[in-house]
Amino acid sequence: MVNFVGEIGRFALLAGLVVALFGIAATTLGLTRRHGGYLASGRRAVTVWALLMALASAALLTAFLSRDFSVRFVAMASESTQPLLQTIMAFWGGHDGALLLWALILAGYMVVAVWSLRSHPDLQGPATATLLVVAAFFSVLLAGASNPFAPLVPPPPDGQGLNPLLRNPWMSAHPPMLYLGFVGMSVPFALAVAALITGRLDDTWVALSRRWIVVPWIFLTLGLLLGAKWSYEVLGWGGYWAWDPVENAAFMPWLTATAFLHSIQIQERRGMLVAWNVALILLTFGLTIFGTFLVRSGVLSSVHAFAKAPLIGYLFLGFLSALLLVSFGLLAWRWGALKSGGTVESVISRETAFLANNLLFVTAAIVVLVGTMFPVLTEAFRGVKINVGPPYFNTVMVPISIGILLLMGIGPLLPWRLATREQLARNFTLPSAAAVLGALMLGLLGVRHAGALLVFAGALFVSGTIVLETVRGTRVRIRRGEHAPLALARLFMRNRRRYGGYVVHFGVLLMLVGVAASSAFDTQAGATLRPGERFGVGRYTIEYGGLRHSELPGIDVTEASVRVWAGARFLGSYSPQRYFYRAQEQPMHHVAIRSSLREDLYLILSEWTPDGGGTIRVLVHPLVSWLWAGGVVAVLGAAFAVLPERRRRAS
Amino acid sequence: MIEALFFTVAVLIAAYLLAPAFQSLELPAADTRDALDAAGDAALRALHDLDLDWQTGKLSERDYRAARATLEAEASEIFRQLAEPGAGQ
Amino acid sequence: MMPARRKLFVGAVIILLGLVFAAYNGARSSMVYYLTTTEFAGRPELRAARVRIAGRVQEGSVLKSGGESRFVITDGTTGYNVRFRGPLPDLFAEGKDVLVEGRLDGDGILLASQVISTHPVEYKEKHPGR
Repeated sequence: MVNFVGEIGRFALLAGLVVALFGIAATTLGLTRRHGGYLASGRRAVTVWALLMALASAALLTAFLSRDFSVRFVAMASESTQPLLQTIMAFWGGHDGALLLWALILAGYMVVAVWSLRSHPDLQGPATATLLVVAAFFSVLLAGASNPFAPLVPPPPDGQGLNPLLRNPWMSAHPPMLYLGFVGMSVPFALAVAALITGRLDDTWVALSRRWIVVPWIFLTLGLLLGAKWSYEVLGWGGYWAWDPVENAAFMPWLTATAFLHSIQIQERRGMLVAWNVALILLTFGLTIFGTFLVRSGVLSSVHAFAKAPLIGYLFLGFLSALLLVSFGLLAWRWGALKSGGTVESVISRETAFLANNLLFVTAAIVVLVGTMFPVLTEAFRGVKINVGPPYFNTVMVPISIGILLLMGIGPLLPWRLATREQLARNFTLPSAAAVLGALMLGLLGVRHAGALLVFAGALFVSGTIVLETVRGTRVRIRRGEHAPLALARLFMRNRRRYGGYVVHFGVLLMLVGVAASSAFDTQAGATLRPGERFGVGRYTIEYGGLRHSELPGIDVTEASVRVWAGARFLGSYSPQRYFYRAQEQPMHHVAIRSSLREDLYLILSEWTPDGGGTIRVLVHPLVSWLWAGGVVAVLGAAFAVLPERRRRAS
Repeated sequence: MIEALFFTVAVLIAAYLLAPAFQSLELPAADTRDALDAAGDAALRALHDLDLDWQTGKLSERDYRAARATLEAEASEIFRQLAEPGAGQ
Repeated sequence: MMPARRKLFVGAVIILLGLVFAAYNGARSSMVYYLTTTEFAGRPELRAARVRIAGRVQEGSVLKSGGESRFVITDGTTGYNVRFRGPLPDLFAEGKDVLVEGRLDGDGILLASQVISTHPVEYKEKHPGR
């Protein structure tokens, strides 16, 4: 039984590498020699690779659950006192296991994608080969430098334990969701490469890529939200987004994927922007690989970029360059065949709105990329690392967000090709009036922050257009004799993409309102108090009741009791805590949050004195819960929009 | 002991992978019928969307008639091609 | 009348120029040089710049009084005195790695606006099987 599990894992990963390479060879031969049997071999390689990754994952999970510390990764990421959920989370609580989870997810996507492409045999072959290349790359890492089954001799009596920062329920879902998003982008990438090779960037490709990019888009959105939530609750600084390279790495492919989801509609409807759409997909996939490289190589966090970057960093960089070179090479090779079918006929049209959307989303991605890579770029050109902080990102992203917000209102109401003046007046009078009135009222109520006012007015404008669209659409059906609730339901069900899209837009505008309000109007205060003393923050009164020390296995807990009033109304008792993880010598915040639709009260125990005094920091963030709610609405809307529609019949 | 097991599994995998390579399966001829099919779907969706745009008042009657005529012509051309035997070869 | 395509192009260029200008300003106002203590000492031209210095908290150098902390940041060869007002991060301790962001004052003391503890998010292999 000595490291039995480890041996199975190593075998599966090594076999996986061989099988992936075999699959690439078989599929390539099948394509060049036009031999169906070889192609079938290649497809079997996909299935076998997936089974081997599942076997390796099962082995690693077994090693964690049986606390087999002779496996180095298990010893590094878990310890014997850890509860079950944390032991399972430790699977992706470190680099090597995260890569295996990545491979497992890729395996799942590959099996489904290859199977579902059986009705498009000419795309299936090249797509299989492309996916197997990605699989082979991860197999190289897993079988070599990042093998999670590397042994540890002699096995230690206990492991180091999962990083305390990761011991949070949000962390159980954040990495898997993020990887489902990242890895899922390989499928549209493979489809784009297949379409370039076969020269078939036609309506089949449009329909397939749209569907295959919405799914990872949903997961990526969820992953970003869960990451923000984790940051808000665990890091104890009261924010949810810091323009940290790790966050940016996940945000950039989200931006380009969102751009694609919009511009693909121009291609579907007008046959325009074919090359641009392909480029967006290639870019999105490239950014997922690049993001993984940023996070995993430590290029940005250390003072010197490549001095300490491990081998794996170079492997990622090499793979990324090869991938972009080949795929953009293919695009250049097909350039002549990618004639655009139409042109923009009028400035005031749906096409323009989509083009503006793409301009803003792609610019945003570039801005984030430049900001993230700024230290690396300046080190390369000027010999010194220069960081740019949140002000850089905010000065550009605020106008871009406001632009995108306005487009969400304008775009859907503009017709294709061109709009006439009467129609514009008819569609935009009411929403604009709502926006202006709303802004005036908020101004009179004392909202003086220009940016926030713009966002609130924009949000009212967009909500106005969405309501108008829904009401008018429902009325059309009522006129045909349907009852109002049924008419509304059918309107949504029969126009899933359109109304699903409106739901996504509504979610996004809730999020933007939440972000604007919580960053423009946050208040914070702190005080060092003796038990029984009070202090005031905004409309709240905080009473400090004293400290309590206790112990959990491996953790010292210090807990402050705090009572909160709003005016004369007692809101409740809260207990912000500090954990000290003894083995890791690491302190951690456990903040107390009172969340309501109106605002979040965020309580932090920041310091204490031996005689029982404590320093309590209090942050008041308005409308933070709108951000989470909006995210959920957006995800549900996207899921609704991608559900298969009933086939329309020709008549 | 475990080596023997791994060896057996490796042989089984190899056999499973190589088996189809010895069959001479014909490659299906390149068929772009699925593209026509998708184009038909897209054309019908476009017509449906255009009708909704018209009914909810985003278009003038003249623009609607013109756009409807173009889309109908495109759609009927696609369905004519789809109806032809051996379409998309 | 300009054709629609040209109008769109002109509009896009105007928007892009505006955004590039905003980015340039944002970058200028938030630029921070990231150096080790020895490198900082070797670049006198950066004395007035906002810097982020990487180093270690020197053993026995930490003094706290009335909400202000003083310590020495060093990379083993060059050290700087640091003054900081505000709560120190959780992982701050003598001998640990730290980043100090701020400016030098006239007396060569680093006035910190931010002190950040750097710790690996993933465990290094320093103590396998502790």
